[in-house]
Amino acid sequence: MSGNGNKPKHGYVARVRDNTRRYIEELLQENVRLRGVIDTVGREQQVLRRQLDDLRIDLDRREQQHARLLALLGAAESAARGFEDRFAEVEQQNANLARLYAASYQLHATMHRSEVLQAIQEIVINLIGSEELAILAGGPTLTPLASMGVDEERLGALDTSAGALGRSLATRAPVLCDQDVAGIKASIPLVVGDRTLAVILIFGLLPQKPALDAFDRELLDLVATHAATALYCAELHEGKC
Amino acid sequence: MAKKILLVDDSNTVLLMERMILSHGRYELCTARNGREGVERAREERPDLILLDVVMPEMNGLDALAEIRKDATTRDIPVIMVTTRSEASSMETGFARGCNDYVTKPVHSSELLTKVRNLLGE
Repeated sequence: MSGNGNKPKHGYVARVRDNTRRYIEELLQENVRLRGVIDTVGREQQVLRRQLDDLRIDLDRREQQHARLLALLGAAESAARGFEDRFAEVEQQNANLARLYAASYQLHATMHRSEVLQAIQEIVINLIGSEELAILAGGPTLTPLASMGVDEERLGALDTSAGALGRSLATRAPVLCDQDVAGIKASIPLVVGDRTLAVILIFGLLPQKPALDAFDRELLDLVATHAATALYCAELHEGKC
Repeated sequence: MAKKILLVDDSNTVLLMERMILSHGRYELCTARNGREGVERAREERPDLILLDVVMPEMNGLDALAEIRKDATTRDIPVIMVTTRSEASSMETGFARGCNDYVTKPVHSSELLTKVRNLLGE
């Protein structure tokens, strides 16, 4: 009986032992598999690290390239602005030359005194920007030849020894100022030889014209010379000289 | 084909200046010396743009503009008024009669060229 009694117990132990062995074998196999996985992951990690290093290097390179391109763009924009400014300057110079040419051309386009006077007025109105002007004949007393926007009484009261008018007659050269006591902004004597044929007076400027500038002075210098010659020629032509 | 611009002004000086400024743009230019002649030239020439002075003999620029806008053959032509005065009231009259833009005297080349190119779609 005792032998039969031990048999099931022995069978149970053997099953447990076998199961345990299988379990241990499975664990060992799983361990081997996991070691393989760890090796694979380790290798992949190394690859990824290398890729990450490459990407960092590439990023640095691209950032440097970006900075260089930004610098180039800045330089190009600056150059473009320079060209734009230069173009505007050239256009302004062209316009100024056009004004000088137009003034000179108009003054010498006629031999008639009245038309010369008309041309002087047109130049002052359209190229200088004034609708308050007068042209006075030179001589011991100044007499109006033409005027616009200024009354005769005001012209009659002008003092030829003071202000812009007085200075321009004394120096025989154009005088420009902000505005003298008589309200004159520019006095331009028209001189030929030792004779002052006439004087152009500018009293007020158009609302959109804040002040006379350097180019206006250049234009008025030209008008002083060419208008004097044109007026003198016209007077010769009409037998007044 | 060059765009055609009609310049209307009684001042030779202004016409000469405008010619010189616009000649850089390679435009075909024609001129008229007063508002009435300007209206006639606009009908004949069918310009792409008109520069119209305000103060002129026979017919002033504002009346000429009204005539130009009444005529079916010229009503769509862009018009830039050229004026000595920049007050709002005179500009309002110009815009009310159908001008597209304006420049004040003395004319600045860059301003004029910009407005001309803008209205010609350049």
